[in-house]
Amino acid sequence: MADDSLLIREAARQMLGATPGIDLVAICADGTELARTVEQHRPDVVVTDVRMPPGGDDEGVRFAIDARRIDPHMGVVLLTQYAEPSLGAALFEGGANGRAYLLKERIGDRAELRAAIEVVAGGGTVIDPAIVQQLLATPRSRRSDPLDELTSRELEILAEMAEGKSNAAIAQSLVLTKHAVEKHIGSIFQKLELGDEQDVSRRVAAVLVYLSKD
Amino acid sequence: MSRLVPTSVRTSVTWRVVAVLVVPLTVLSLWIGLTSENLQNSELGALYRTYHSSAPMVIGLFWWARRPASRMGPLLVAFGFMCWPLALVASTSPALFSIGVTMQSPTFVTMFLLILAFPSGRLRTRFEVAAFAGWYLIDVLAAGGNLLTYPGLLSLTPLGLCAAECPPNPFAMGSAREVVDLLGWVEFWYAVGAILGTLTLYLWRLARASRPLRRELITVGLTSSLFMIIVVIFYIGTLIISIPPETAAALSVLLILSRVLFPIGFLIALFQADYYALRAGGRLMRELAAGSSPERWRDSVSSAVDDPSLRLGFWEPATGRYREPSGAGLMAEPGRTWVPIERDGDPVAALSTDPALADEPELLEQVAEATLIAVVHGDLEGELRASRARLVEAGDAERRRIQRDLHDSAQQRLVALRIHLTLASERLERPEERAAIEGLGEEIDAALDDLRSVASTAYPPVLARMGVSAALRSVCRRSALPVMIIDAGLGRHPEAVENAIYFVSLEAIQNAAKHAGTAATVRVELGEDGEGVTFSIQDDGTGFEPGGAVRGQGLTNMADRLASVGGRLSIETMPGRGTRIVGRVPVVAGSVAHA
Repeated sequence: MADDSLLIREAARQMLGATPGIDLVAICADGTELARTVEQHRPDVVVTDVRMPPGGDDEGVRFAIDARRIDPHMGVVLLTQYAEPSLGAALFEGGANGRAYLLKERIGDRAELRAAIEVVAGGGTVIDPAIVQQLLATPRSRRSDPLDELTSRELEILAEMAEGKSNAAIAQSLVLTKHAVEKHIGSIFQKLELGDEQDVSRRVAAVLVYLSKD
Repeated sequence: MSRLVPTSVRTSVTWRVVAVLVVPLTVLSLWIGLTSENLQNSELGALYRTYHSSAPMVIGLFWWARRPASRMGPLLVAFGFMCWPLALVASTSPALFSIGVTMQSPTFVTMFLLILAFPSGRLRTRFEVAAFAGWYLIDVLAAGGNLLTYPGLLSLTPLGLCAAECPPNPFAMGSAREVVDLLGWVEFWYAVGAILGTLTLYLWRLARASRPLRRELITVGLTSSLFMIIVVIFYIGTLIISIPPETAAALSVLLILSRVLFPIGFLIALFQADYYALRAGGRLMRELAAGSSPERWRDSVSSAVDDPSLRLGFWEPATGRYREPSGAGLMAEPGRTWVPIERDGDPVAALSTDPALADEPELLEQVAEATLIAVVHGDLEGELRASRARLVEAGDAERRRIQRDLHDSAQQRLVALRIHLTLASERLERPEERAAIEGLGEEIDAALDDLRSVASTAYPPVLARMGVSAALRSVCRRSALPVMIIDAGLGRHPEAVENAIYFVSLEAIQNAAKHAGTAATVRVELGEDGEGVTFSIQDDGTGFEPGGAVRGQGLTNMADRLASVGGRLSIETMPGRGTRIVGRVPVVAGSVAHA
C-alpha cells in the first residue's frame, strides 16, 4: 500500500490489516520507497495513490505501467481523488489486466476494496462505479451515438460490465439469467461494433476505451 | 517635446543683423522713390521697387527662422539685397540711375536660381551650378559692357519709365558697340536656353517628387512661371514685335502683378507644408485612436510622408539600439535622413527616410510627435494588458491553490474519516447502531462529492493535464448540461490562454443553459489555425435583443479575461434565433505550451 498522506496510511493500515484474506505486507510513503519495497517483497497486489512524490500527478500510473514489465502477474489498484475518467485512461493503455481504478474513498468500503483486490490479483479489471456513471451519464458529441440505440437494460449491463463484473456477477446483480445477460452483451457489442470478447478485462478495456473516446 | 532641429537660429547674429538692416533699407528705398522726379508714377513705382527688395528680405528671414536647415531663407534675403539697387532707378543722379538699370538683368537671372534651388536653397547638380555660373558670367559681361559703352541706358520696366529723357550714362567710356551687341545677343540666346532648361528640369523634378514636395513645387512653379511667361511675352511684345499700346499697358499690369506674386509663392509653399503636416499628423492620430500595431504604424507613417522606403525603429534599452518591428536593427546611414525621436532626452524611436524628406521638416516633426505619442500610448496599452494579465493570473493561482488545498487536506481527512467510520461501525454489535454509523458514512460520501465538485469548479485538474476540450467535456458531463462539444483540432497552449478559453467557454455554456430555454441545445466548437485559437458557443434558444441587453457583469468578465491574454470576444444574437458567442485568441508562435 502506498500513499503520501499520513492520515490515509494510518486509516488504510487499520482497514487492510483487519481484512480477512488480505495480508498487508508493507506501507510506503512515496514512489521511490514503493519501488524498493515491491522489489523486496514481491506482493500479489499493490494499492497505491495515483498522485504522490516524486513523480507527482502520474507517479501511480507510471508505477503501474512499469510494474507490468517487472512482474506481469502483479495486480495494481490505483486510488484517485478525481472522478475523472480521462485522467485514468493512460492506465489502461498499458493493458487492462490486473488493474483497478477506484476513488480513494473506496478504502472505506471493506467489501468493495477486498473485491477489487481479489479481482485484480486474478488478473481482472475493476473501474469505480462512480467513474463509470460519469462516462455513461453524458449526452455525447457524436451525431449518431450508438449508445442511444441501447435499451435501458443494455445500458445497465454495460455499466456493470465496465465495473469489471463477470457475466455471472452481472446476472446476480440485475436479477437476470446468465443466458439473458450473455444475449444482451452480445447485442451491446454488436451495436457498439466492439467485436465479441470473452476475456473480462479485455472487455472492460474495450468498453472503457470506447466510452472515453468523446 | 520632440525636437528635430534646435530653434536657435532666430537668435543667430547674422539673422539679427539682417533683420535690423531691413528697416533702414526699406525706408531709404521708399524715400528715394518718393522724392524722385525722374520717373512716371513715382509713388506707385516707389512702393513697387521697395517691394522688390523688402518682400524677399522679410520672407527670407521668415523662411530662415522656420527652416534653419534650408539655405532658402538666406538665399531669399540675398536676393532681396540684390534687388535693392533697383530702387536707384528713381534717382536723378546719372551714376546711380545707370547702376540701377544695370542691376536689372542679374536680378532676373537670380530669380531662376531661386526657382531651381527651391526648397533646399541649393542647386542639386554640378551641371546646374556650371550653367548658372556661365549665365552670371555672360550677364556680367553683357550688362557691364552696356554700362561701359552705352551713352544712355534706358529704363523700360513697368513703373520705371523715365518721365522725360533718361539720365545719361557717366560710365560710358569707349565704343565697342559691335562687341557689346554681340554679347547682348549671346546672353539673349543663353537666357532662352537657360529658361527652357529651368522649365524642363523643374517639370522633371515635379514628376519625380513625393506627394508632400510636389504640392509645394506646384505652388512655386505656378507663381514663378506666371511671371516668366508674362516677362517673355512683354519683352517680345515691346522690344521685338510692336504691339498696340493698350495691349502693352495690359501686359505691364500683368507683369507687375506677377512680379509681386513671385516672392509670395515661396511663402505660400511654407504655409502649405505646415498645413499638410498638420493634416498628416491628424490622420496619424486618428489611426492611433483606432488601434494600431508597430507594423501598421510604420505603414501609416510611410504613407503619411509618401516614402515607401521609410524605416521605423523602436529603442531597445536592453541592447542600446533601435529595432524595427521585424526585429532588424536600425541605424543612421549616409544618404538617408535620420530622425531620432526622444522624450525628455531619452531615446524612444527613430525614423530612417528618403533624403528628400530633409526638405519637409514640418512633416517629419508632426510624424515624429505622433510616433512619440504612439509609443507612449503603446506602452500604456501594453502596461494595461500586463496588469490585467497579472490580476487574472493571481486569480487563477488562487483557484489552483484552493483546489490543491481542498484535495490535499480536506479530502484526505474525510477519506480517512470515512475509513475510520467503517472500522468503528464494524466494532458495533447492534444493527441499529451500525446503521446509524453507516448513515454518517453516507453523509461523508456526499461531502466528498461536494468537495470534489467545488474543487473542480475552482480549477479542474483535467484542464492542466489534458487541455480545454477534455476539461469542457468533463464539466459538461458532470453537470449534465446538454452540450455538444466539437473539437476541430485544438492543441495545447500556455496555461493562461487555456485557462481563459476554458473559463470563458464554461461561463458561456452556463449562460446558454440558463437563459436559452429548456429545449435549447448548446454547441461548442473549438479550433485553431496558424494565427490563433477560435472558439464558439452557440445555442438555438430564445436569443436576446442585440442592443437592448445590458452587458451583464458576466459578459464583461468574459471579455476582460480574454483581453488579458490578448483575445477578443464577439456576440451575435437575435430574438428567436439563439445566441452565438465567439472568442478569438491570437497565439504567438513558439510560445511554450503545457508540458
